[in-house]
Amino acid sequence: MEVNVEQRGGTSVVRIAGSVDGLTSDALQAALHQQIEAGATRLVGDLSAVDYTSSAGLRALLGTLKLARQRGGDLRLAAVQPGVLRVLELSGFTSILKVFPDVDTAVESFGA
Amino acid sequence: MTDRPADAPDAEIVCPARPESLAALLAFVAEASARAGLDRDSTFAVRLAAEEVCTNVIAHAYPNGAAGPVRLRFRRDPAAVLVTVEDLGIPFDPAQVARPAADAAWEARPIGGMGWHLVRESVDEVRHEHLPGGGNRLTLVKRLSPDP
Repeated sequence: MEVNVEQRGGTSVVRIAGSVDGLTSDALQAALHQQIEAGATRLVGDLSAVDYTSSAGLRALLGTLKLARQRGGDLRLAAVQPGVLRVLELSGFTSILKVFPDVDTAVESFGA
Repeated sequence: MTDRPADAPDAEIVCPARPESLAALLAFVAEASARAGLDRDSTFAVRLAAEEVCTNVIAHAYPNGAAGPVRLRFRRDPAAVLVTVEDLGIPFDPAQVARPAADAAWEARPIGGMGWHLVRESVDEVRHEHLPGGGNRLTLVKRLSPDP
């Protein structure tokens, strides 16, 4: 798994590539929390290149979502692939997380 | 073309039930799924169920820092994949695992507790047996759609 962060105005776009599982979820959570600790609480997770997640990935996403919202921001997801989207749906995460078809729409959803 | 005889012998791996074994267990499932010619959706489902079960064994089968074995077996039948996970640890009954609150508001949503829910949802059948000498055998059955 690889994680790259790009700043777009006041939003951090976190591009994740590969599989989020019990081997990689700690690194993902650390990267996401590092953004929040640095004051970037508006996060877009670009999942276009994520081919797999297990419950370990869900834990990282939910922990990040809670921390970001407690600090007045949010974690929003973009371009989630079908298998990963199904895991999010089965877990009820699509009812608490905003999911957008692409990164641009997710970034715009935060407003100017 | 993938050559995948339906009577291919079982593949098997045995590891200590410790977090550092997870990489080998996941690699085993990935290789076995590829060798068995599973399609993308079945590969995802088998990988997910196997990871959740192995993670559960590693975390809970052997309390107090002990680490016994976890044995993973992969079998491809003509119409299904069977993944068997055995441990020699404390008794575990998946039927007793509570269903998670998948409709709670984000503030109330516990972090974790989704693993067994995903196992149940991703495979068609979960069988559990207590092993005669102590321990558990879980068999995950993923039925395969016929080749087009």
